[in-house]
Amino acid sequence: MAEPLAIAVVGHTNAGKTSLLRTLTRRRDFGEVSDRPGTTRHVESVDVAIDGRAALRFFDTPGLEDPTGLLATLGPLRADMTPPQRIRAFLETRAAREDFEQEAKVLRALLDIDAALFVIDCREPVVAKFRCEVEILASCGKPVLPVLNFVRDPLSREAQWSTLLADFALHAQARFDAVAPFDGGEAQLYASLQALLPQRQDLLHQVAGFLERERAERHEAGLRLIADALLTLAALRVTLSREEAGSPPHKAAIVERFRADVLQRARRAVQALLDLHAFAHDDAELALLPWLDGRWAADLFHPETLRDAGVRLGKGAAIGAGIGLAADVALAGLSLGSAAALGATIGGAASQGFGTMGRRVADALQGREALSLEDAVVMVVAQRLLVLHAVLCARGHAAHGRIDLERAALPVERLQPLLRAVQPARAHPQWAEADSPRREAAQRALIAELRALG
Amino acid sequence: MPRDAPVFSLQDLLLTEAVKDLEAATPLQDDKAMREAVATTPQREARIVQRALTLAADTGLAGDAAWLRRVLPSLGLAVVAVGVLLAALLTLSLLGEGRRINALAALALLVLPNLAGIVAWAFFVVGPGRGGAGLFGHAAAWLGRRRPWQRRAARVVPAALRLLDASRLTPWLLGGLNHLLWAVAYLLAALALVAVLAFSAYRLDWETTILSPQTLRDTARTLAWWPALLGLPARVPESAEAAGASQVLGWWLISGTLAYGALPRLLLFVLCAGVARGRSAALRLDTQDPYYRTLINRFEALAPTRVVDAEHAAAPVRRDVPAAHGESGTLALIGFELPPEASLPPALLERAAWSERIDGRGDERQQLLQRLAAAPPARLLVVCHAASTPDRGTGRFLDGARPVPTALLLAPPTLAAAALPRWRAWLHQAGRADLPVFADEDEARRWSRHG
Repeated sequence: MAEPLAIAVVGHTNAGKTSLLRTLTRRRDFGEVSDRPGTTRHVESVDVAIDGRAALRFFDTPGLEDPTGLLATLGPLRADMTPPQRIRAFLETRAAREDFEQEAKVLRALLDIDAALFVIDCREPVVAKFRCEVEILASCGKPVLPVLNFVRDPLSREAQWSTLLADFALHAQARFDAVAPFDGGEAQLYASLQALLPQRQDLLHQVAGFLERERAERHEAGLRLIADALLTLAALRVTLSREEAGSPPHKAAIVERFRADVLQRARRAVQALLDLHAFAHDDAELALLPWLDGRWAADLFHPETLRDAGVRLGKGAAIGAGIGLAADVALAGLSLGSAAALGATIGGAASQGFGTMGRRVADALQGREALSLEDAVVMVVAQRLLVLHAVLCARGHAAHGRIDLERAALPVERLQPLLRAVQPARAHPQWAEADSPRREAAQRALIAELRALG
Repeated sequence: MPRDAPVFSLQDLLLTEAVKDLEAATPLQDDKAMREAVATTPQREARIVQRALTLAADTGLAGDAAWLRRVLPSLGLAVVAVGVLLAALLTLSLLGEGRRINALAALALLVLPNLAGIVAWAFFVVGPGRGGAGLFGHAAAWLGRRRPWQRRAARVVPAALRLLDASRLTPWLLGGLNHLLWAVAYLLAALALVAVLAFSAYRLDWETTILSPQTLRDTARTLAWWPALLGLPARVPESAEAAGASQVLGWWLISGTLAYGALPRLLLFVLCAGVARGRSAALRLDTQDPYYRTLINRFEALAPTRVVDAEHAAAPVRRDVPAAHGESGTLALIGFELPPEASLPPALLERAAWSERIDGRGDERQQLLQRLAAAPPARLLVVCHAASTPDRGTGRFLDGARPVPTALLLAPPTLAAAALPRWRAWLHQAGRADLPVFADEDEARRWSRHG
């Protein structure tokens, strides 16, 4: 690979240049972002590497703040100068070091790069200063790709902007929401860049392919994580001896410990998903998600949640209590297979392999009880992890503001196939701790179901 | 264009997987390992492996893997030993009791289990091919619990087996060992037959109750085809009673043992060795694994960003300007860079002595400032688009108008309240904190009257 392709990200102040770069480089920590104008005051570069080699080098620039004044200072184009020569001449002046120091940085960067992404906040009215801005940027002699940001905002004036840009011969335009990128937006952006830079087409094609593979690999890794967590939860089991089962305080303590264990494991899965998508565990906005703050612990074992999930899964309202212990609200979400429920458990166990049945019969005969998680709990966790994964896959690394959960919601009843795929774990309590070839096979089957959910 | 993922040695990947297992419980302290990896290579999979190698050296895993490599040759010796044992069993069962050998039955005894074994292995290759590793994994874990020195095995063997499974090396490695074992066994058995038949008198024949001797002879001939093709002595006598039949049948049996027993196994051993070699030369890191993906993220976050053109921030300039004295009570209203659909507030328009909307063009700005200087009003209210970002262009215009007491009104009212703090912060930051800014028209009207 030759020299990295140098791309300056330019635009009016606060148009979302740094946000765009955060999203394109998937780095939440890049630069500084705020709604204050002029947040970025220096030119900072960051690379996008393919296999360790820098393919693209982005330059984040300060915003243009007074294009009207700048254009007046540049003066009219003299007959003996090309537009870039006029810019060079301006960079030598005192104004470029004083009043227009910030703008001069942008122009200096522009003269030195292969292409520019011109970020536009589509919500801004198309007034004179922006016409000046487009004129200045278009006159630097570099390929400029306008990136229409905030196109999906209700205040967006996309059509007016498109017309203005076309008037300055900027016909290739990309729509890209830096904060809430839509599916394929990034690919479209690179495709537009390819059209603008035919001589660097191969490189941009490689970048687009690389990013697509990365996206697919992240998605797959997320599904693996989720499948692993679900099998672990379904496999969890604590066996209570006759004495423990007979003593309510003992039993309550064990049930409590079991729940804490479940929550701990579910939380680990959530954190692993955040790590996978390069979001911080304590991301302030993500913490608004109902299952990332402390509330979800209470929520997961709430009889109401489970009854609802149970009904949706076609298991009837009895779910959330446990076989043979229908009234035991304290056990919500856990099932306790006991001697009294032997008849019911044999039916269920038969579908899970005879190892389980043998163990259950032995447990029943010795008065032991086996505590495990109900399907409804496992499915509620599945639903939440899947929604979180989907949200994180789509979320830009510059996102701020609350996540639209309604849009991302996945109805529990669609998870029916998952329910079948986690059942093998019921017969293998050791799967909660250790990997085995059979667990891997079950995990592959479960991943296939997760993939089918789309 | 497909990505050329880097290839790693079995040894390196084994350590990487073993470190992954070790970190499954608690992540290791890896600052040094991360730094070293970043310094060593820019390639991300290579960085992950490098990091694992550093951690493996620090945690003693590298020693365990080296131990495993020392132990493996003895596994080969064990295979040969079992092969010798099998050869002895084969020869004994062939020779049977007495001095008579049923040649056809003897060859069947040799060939049929061999074919069955090969077919079973083929199923293992075609099928998922994961059973063997599970068994060995359990064995390793079990051993690890028993003997302290075998804990080393427990730390590296599961990772090794998983790696072999994932790269589909298991059936070829296990198959290779298996074929080697049987090849040794059949070779030795053939040698033993040669030794026994050379120095003792045996009678080789075939016998039947319900078949014709013709059928048996034809069968023996058919079986002789393959050894004969290989150039081995495999003639078949016309009848088992013919003179010299035992000698001819003895060679026929030895050739059959080599051609149907040792040779296929040897060929399969070579095939397995070749495939295993080829596969282990193409081992890649599974970048779809969540653990490795997370490491990739961590490495990417370490990539430096460079400040190319640093900031030389100038302190906000305090702008003291002599106040202009306009005609008392007059108000000028200016719509500055407003979107076309926005209108100036009618109540204020009524109150204003004059009003103007400008789009922000340079000449417009200049004319307006000249008008303000020529006939200053008592107060100037500049209506700005609330949703727009305040910028230096706006600031310069405001500074130009400053001799007249000026205030800002944000419009439209629906967006104004939300945008107010941002505009206020901007005024403050730019040294214009004394400029009042309003989101509310009534407040602006009150200011225009009383200040």
